[in-house]
Amino acid sequence: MTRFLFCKEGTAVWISHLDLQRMFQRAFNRAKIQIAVTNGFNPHAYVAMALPLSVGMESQCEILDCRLADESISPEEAAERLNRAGFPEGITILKGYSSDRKLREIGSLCARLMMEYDNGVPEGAEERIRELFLREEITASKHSKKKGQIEINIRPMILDVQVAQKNTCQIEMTATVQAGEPSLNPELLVQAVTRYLPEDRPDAVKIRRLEVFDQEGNAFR
Amino acid sequence: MNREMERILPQVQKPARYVGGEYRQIVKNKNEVDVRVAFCFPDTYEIGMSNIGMRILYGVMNNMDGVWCERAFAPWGDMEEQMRSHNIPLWALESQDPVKDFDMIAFSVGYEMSYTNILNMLNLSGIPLHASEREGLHNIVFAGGTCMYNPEPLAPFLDFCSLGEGEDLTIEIVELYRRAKLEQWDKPRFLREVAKLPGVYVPSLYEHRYAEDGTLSEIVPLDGAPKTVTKRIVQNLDAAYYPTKAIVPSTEIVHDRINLELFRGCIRGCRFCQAGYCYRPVRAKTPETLIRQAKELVEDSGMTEITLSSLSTSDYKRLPELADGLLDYCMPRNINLSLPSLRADNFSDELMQKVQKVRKSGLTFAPEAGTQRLRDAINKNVTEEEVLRSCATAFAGGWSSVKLYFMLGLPTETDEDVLAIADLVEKVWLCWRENTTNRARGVRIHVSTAFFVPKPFTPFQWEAQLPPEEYQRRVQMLRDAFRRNRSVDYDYHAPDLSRLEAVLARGDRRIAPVLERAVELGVKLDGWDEYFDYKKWLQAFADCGVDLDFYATRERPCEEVLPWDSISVGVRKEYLASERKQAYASRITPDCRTKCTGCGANLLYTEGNCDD
Repeated sequence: MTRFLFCKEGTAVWISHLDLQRMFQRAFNRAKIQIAVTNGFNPHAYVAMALPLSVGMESQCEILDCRLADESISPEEAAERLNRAGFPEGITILKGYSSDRKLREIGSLCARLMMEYDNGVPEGAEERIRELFLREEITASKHSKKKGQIEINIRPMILDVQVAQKNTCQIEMTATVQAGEPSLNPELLVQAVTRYLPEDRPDAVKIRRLEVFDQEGNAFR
Repeated sequence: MNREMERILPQVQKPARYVGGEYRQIVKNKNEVDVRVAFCFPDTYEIGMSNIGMRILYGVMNNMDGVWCERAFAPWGDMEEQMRSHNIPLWALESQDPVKDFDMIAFSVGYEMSYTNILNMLNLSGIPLHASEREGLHNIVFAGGTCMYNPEPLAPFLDFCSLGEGEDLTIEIVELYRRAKLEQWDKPRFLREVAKLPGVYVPSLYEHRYAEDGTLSEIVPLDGAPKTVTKRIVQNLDAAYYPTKAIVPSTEIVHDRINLELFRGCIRGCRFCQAGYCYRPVRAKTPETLIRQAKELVEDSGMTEITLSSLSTSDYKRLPELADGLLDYCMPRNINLSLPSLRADNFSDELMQKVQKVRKSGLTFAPEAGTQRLRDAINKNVTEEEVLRSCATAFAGGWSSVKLYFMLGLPTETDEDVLAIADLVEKVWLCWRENTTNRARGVRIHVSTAFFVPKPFTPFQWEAQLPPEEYQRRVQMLRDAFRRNRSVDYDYHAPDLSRLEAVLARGDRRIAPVLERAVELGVKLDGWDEYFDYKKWLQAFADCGVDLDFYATRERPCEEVLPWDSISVGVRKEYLASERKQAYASRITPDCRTKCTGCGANLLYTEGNCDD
C-alpha cells in the first residue's frame, strides 16, 4: 500500500472531506498516476483516508492510502509528481512511503486548540480549565446519526490535556484524544469549557491536528 | 485571511466557495500591478464558476502584464447575514481584499433575474449604486454578457457596457483605463474616450425622452457618442484565447466538467431565441483546435468529463470527425463525453451509438410547440416524424426515459396547439411501446413547459406576453390532458418569474428605481426558489408606480422607439420585422447553411464567411 502524509491548512481547511476526495482524484489524474480498482461488479478505486478532518481544522498529519495501478512508480516519486502537478493552496504531500500498517491501528491523535479571547483571557481561566479536565466526568452533547443529539461522557476519551496561557489573549490547549472507533472530536473540549466554565468561553478557536498515534502511543506512519 | 472572515466561515454552508485558493487561481503581487479588476458574477460561486464567458475573460485579463483580475460572487443568504452583522464588505477571492479597493468592477450578466444581485453585491461592497455618485476613476463599474443588449434597466448603475464577445474589447478597455489612470483623467473624459471603442455603450451619454403615453419617443446621443453601438465578435476562434489551464474548483459546482465550445452562433433562427440572433454570425473552431484544447484541458485539470457546448451542438459541421477524434482520446482514458442540446432532426443512429460507447446520457428533445403550424411559426424546424424517428431509435437502443421541452404562450398559439402537445407526447409513448426492448421496465416521459418571454433582438421583440391568468388556463388544460397517461411527468412553472423576466428583458430606464427598491425590500438570488419572492417584487413595482403590464403584456407598435434601439447585434431590425411577418404566415425561413437570408450579421464577420 502506498501511503501519503499530507497537510491541510490555509484556505484548504474549508474543503470538505467529500470534496477533498474528489480533489485528490483529479490531482492523481493530473499527475498521470492511476489508482488500482477493485475487480468487483462495481469497481471502485483502492483509496482510503484516515480520520476525516472537520471543516475548518488544520492538520499536518493527514493520511491517504492507495494502491497504484502501476507498481513501478515508487511512493516517493508519486508524492513528488503529485506535488508538482499541483494542489489547491494549503494542500501539500509531506511524504510518500510504503506501509503495511492498517489504518485501524490508529488509536489516538494529538490536537492543538488555540482559544482566543478578544477582551483578554479572564483572570484564572488557565487554572480553571486545567482543573476542569481533571474531573471524573465531563458531558458534552454530540450529534449521532441514529439518535440525533445525545449526551456523552467525554472524559474517558481524553488521554491528556495540557493547558497554557500563551499571552494576554490566547490559551493553548494541547490535547491527546481517542481516535478510531470511536473518535473524540477535539471541538468537544471547547464545548466542555463553554458549558462548565461559561465565563471562560473563548471568542474563537483554531484547531490543528498535530499527530496521530497507534495503540501504544507511538506516532502512526 | 482576516480574523473576522475566519470566524464567520464556520457559521455558513459550503465555506469553500468563499475563500479561493483553488488549483490554477491566479495570484499576482498587488504592489506590482497597475490595474486591479474585480470580476463579479451576479450569482453564487457554483453558477459563476460554471460560466465559460467568465473563465475566458478571467484568463484574458490576467494574461495582460500589470493587470490582476480576481473573482467575486454573490454570497448565499447565510453568508450575507454574517457579512452584514460583522460589517465585512464583499471581497474578491484571490487576495481577499474588499471589492471596493479595486480599480474596475466588471459584471458578467447573462440572466435578467440576476439584476438584483448586481445591486446587492455593490451594496455589500459598500460601493455607491449610482454611477453618478461614484466620482473619479476608482470603482469604474461595467458589465457585459447577453443581457447588456438591453442594459437600460441597469443604466443608472453602470458606467458603461461592453457589448458582444469580450476577448479583444476587454483588453482595449483595460488598456484605456490604465492610460487614463496614469494620466489622471477625470471620469467624464474617460467615459467619453471609452465610448469611442467600438462595442462600448455608455448609458449616461444617451438621453431617453418619453411621450405622454409613456412610450419612449426619442434617444438622443450626447457628447459625440455614436448613434448606434454595434457588438463585437471574435473573427478567428481558432486563434482566440481559450482557457485550457483553468481553475479547478475545490468544491462541487453546477457544471463540474470540462466545457468545450465548438462554435458560436446558430444556423437555425428559432424566432423566440435571443441567443440565436445575438450570437450571429456562425463561426466554428476546427476539429484540430478542439481536440488539442480537449487534451490540454483534460491533462491540466484532471477532470474526467467533457461537455461539448454550443447553441446547437449537433449542427457542428464536422461533428463525426470531431466525435471520432475525441472518442479515440477519451475512451482509453475513461473520460466521459456528453453532447447536450441535440436536435431531433439530425440525431442520428450513428451519432447516438458513438455517444453511447462512452456513456449513456439522457435523451432530450425540444420541439417547443405541439403542432407543425406553430413550430413553423417559431421556425423550430423539427417535424413530428423526426421526433418520433429519433425516439424510436433511442428506445430501440435501450433508452427508457426521455425529456421533452415545450413553450406555452408563443405568439399565435391556440388551444389546439396546446392540446397537440399532449397528442405528441402520447405518440412518443406509443413509439416507446412499439420499439422498446424491455416493456416491463416502463418508460418515463418528462414533459416540461416554459412560459414564453419575448426578448429584445428577436422577431418577437414587439410581442405581448400572455397575461398570467391566461397562461395558467393553458397549463391547466394541458395538465388535464396528461392525467390519462401515468408514464408522463409534467413539470410547469408558476408564471411569476417569467413575467418579471419579460418586464426586465424589455424594460427601460424607468425600471431602475424598481430594482433599487426591490433590493431595499430584500429581494436577491431570484434565480433560486429558496429566495424568489414575487410579493416583494410586486411591492417594489407598486412603490415606484410602475405597471408591469406596460412592459410584459403590451404589444409594441412597429414604429415605437425601443429602449435598445441604440444598440446593434448585427442583425437588422427590418430583418426581424420580416421574420415576424413570416411567423404570422407560419412560413419557415431556411437555416443559414441551406440559404443565407440576409440578416446582416455577416457584415460583422469581415475576416471570414458565416458557417464556413
